[in-house]
Amino acid sequence: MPKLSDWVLISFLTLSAHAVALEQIYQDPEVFISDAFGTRPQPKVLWLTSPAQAEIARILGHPPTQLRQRYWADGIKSVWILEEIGKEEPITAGFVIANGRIDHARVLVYRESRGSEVRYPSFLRQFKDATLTSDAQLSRAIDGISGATLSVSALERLARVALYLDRLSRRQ
Amino acid sequence: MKRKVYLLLLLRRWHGRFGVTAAIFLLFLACTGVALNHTQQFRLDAYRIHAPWLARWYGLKVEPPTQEFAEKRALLIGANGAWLLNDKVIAENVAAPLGMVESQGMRYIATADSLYIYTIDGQLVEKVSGSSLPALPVLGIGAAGSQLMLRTPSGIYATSDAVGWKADSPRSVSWSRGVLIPQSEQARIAARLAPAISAETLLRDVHSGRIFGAYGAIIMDIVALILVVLGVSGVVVFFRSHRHHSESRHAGINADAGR
Repeated sequence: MPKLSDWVLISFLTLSAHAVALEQIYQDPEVFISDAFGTRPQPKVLWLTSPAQAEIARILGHPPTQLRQRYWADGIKSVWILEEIGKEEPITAGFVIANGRIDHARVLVYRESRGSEVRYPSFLRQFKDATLTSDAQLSRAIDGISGATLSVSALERLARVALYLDRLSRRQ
Repeated sequence: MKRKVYLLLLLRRWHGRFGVTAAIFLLFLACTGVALNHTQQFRLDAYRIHAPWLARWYGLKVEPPTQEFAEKRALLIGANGAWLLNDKVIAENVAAPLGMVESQGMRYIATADSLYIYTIDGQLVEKVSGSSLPALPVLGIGAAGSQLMLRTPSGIYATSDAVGWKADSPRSVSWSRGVLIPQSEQARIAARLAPAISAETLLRDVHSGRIFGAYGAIIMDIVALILVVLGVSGVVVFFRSHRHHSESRHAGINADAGR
């Protein structure tokens, strides 16, 4: 007689629809930068040295995809537009950091087929005022969203990288 | 009574045959299903398969590259959304290159909407796009001394770091130009630049049967039907056997009582 596991497999087979990646632009990155400053400052670049690459690799779980990070800053706050793959496609998120704390975060472009709930302000508000602890963790716990685990994890990693890069940029 | 026993045996035999058939598929589905649940751990999402036959199977047309860009010791060829630099794939999901320039220890590759900066040993420094470029679309890339030059519909722009740009008047710019690849070479290079399929996509399609198109769905439908038959025959065999055993036991008790 077929066991329960057989039916679970059949259900999985039926439900495993082909994922179709759709690019959803929730906010133009240029608009995000302009909104943060009121005007658009000149971009700056931060070269990722070997120790910085190693630290980012520790946060992300893989080496950074590029050696130079562009950012915008006015002396008080800095804006970082970062990308990280949730499951298959990169999520573009923007972070505004002021005095070493996340002022606000926003999902700018979402390309995954599932998990776009991370774009909701109710989720993103959790990042407000988060700082980076000495072991490169967020100072506050971020509640997950069922069905969007990988996207939540990607955003959490990006928030840590943004805070780390902000710290690095201030040392320059 | 004899007929009922015969039917029960027949049903049990067929239940076994269907069970063995289904077991092969279930084993396969279980293995691929587990692998799909752990694609990140197994790095199936990152592993990409470049094979012309697989691309053809997926209906992806393999476009042979037509031109190459040479700059000092580097040779860049782009086709099917991938770039080959000195015979090594350095980028995927990218647009066709317009040109390549080496300047101040960096290698710059331009597409219509982006500028990619690489170190000489092939590490990506930065992808510059959108409003970080002076104007769009990019029509050409070149070098004038230590300056990198971009040609756009609104003029020519110069930069030394791809961060700040200034409009420049045309002077002795060495523009990167593609050279036609001999037809005899095109097929060999096309094989290296065949559209890539990720291992996860392949496994997912094998798991669902979609790798075989409409036939795959029919095969999986048949497997599903076999499982339905298994379910029904299993229930019938279970209850019939249960009743048969109960009757036998009941008859045995009666016989013992009659002695």
